[in-house]
Amino acid sequence: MKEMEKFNNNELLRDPFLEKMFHKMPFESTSGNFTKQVMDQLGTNIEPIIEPEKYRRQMLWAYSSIGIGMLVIALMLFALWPFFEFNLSLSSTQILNFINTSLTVLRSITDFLSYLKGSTVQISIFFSLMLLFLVERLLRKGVSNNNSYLL
Amino acid sequence: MKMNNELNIILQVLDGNPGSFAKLVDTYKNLVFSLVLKIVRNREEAEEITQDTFIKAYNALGSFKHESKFSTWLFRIAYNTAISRTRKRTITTSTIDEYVIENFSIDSVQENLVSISEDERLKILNLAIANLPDDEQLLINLFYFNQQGIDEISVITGLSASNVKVRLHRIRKKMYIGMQNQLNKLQIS
Repeated sequence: MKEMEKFNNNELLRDPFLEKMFHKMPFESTSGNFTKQVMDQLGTNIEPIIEPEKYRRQMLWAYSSIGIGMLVIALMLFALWPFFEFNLSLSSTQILNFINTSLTVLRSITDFLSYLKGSTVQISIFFSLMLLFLVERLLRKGVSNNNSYLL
Repeated sequence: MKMNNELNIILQVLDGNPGSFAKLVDTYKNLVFSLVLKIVRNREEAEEITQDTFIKAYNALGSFKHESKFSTWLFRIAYNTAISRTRKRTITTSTIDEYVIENFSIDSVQENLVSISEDERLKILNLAIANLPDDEQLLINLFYFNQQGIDEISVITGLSASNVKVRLHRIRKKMYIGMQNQLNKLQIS
């Protein structure tokens, strides 16, 4: 640790004598047709660059799938949780009920977690979410490596 | 090359004009080649690695996030390509005791080096560099020859900035020890 602190100042690495010697070292050049050789290889290269349009299409497809998955899970949760069954035609009593319900959200989360332990349906929902998350990661990785799993 | 200009070229390539990539190759080919040549010490192999570097950079251009300079990103590719090639070789380098490194005084070496001709000095410097392990050669060349900053070297090598500083300090001392050894050989002969 002390050694690390010692080098916080870059000046310790400055060495005009060594720098001068390095500057006198010749700057090497590639062969005359180097650029042409590289460009020729790129012309016959198998891996094309992902164009932005293609990338956008892939990501749109990926996020649509994830969105649909999330919607299905949300619908399942609404069906399972009775306290979410609101009547949306508003009246003052219903607004108060809504506020009361909102205040119990934290307690409900705790209840949900304990309920989760005893319910295979909720466990499967949890794993579905994890799976969706993993699929999303996989898609992203595929896109960044120029490999598409969708197109 | 200005950063804006570079960005325009990168966007042109990504928009389907691969020919624009030639401008980037022209700008950086000698910088990358010089660095790689110092590691592999063979012109043909260095040119091959430099070509690989540009091809890899072209293929990965879509993933360049502009978080660093293009040159830093390119050097990182060159560094990884050169290191993975040299890992396959077995080169004997001398090891120096940590105590000797820490207590070595560079002043006398500098005085001795001043007293010889410039050609001999450069020859001794090259021999001292050649005696270092590949990763250390890369670090010392990036700092003193390519004049990359500590943060840039950190991005290129994947080492933390503190680690780069500590290693550069040790490598610098090892270089001077190596140069002193070469001077001694020169005096004997």
